Amino acid sequence: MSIVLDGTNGITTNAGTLLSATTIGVGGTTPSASGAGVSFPATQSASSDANTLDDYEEGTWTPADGSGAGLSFANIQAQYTKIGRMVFASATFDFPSTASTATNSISGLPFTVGTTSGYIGGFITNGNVAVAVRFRPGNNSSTGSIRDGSGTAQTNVALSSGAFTINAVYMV
Amino acid sequence: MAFTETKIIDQITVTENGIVLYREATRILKDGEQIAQTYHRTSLTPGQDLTGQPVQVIAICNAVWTDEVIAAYQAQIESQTI
Repeated sequence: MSIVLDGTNGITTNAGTLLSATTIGVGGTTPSASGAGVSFPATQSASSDANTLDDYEEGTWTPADGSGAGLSFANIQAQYTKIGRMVFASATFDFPSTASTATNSISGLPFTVGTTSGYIGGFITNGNVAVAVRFRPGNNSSTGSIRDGSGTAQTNVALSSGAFTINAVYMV
Repeated sequence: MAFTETKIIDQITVTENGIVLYREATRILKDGEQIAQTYHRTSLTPGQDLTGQPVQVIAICNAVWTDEVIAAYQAQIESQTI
């Protein structure tokens, strides 16, 4: 028996068309009904093989105040994409006016950050507060903090009324 | 042809240090068959305010977040510098 894959007929056998799909489900997943691509299980089926892509997920998340000051962020837009073990999470939000001297903490990251220090990073692509340069996710946590260029986590009052777009890249 | 939207928490995870993560799936059904799905993820750290969280998530947090777990998590966060 021969099997042929081409862009016109999909997968065909010498006995006729076997499958002509624009989406493929792996791990028993029902292929997506829209678009074209590969559908992964809703819950990751982790592979220990270094050459196997075993997860893909995209969605939204909600950054929140984790400093204990009870702050509420406004105008939130936050999205994430997880590819294999890498997470790319970004969020735009407005920091409230506050006099809190607690160290800022942004909670709600969509996945827990891995335990290995160094496999994480983050930056601010938009902001109106000069001391806000870095975003540092914390190892083995789902929070991060806004820091200055030297890595010092800022207080809430230093970020008061600021508008930020933070970006985090980390391994789970 | 009928379209419906359902929201369901389809995944709740608790990490070793007490972080509770859950995923809300929004599913679009056409005549009862799912045609689209989106996700929204939320993570909660030990001791965090649970106002507005789903009842089943609150129950898990309250069970997991002992004083010891909260204190250990705070110590972990405070120990992280650069």
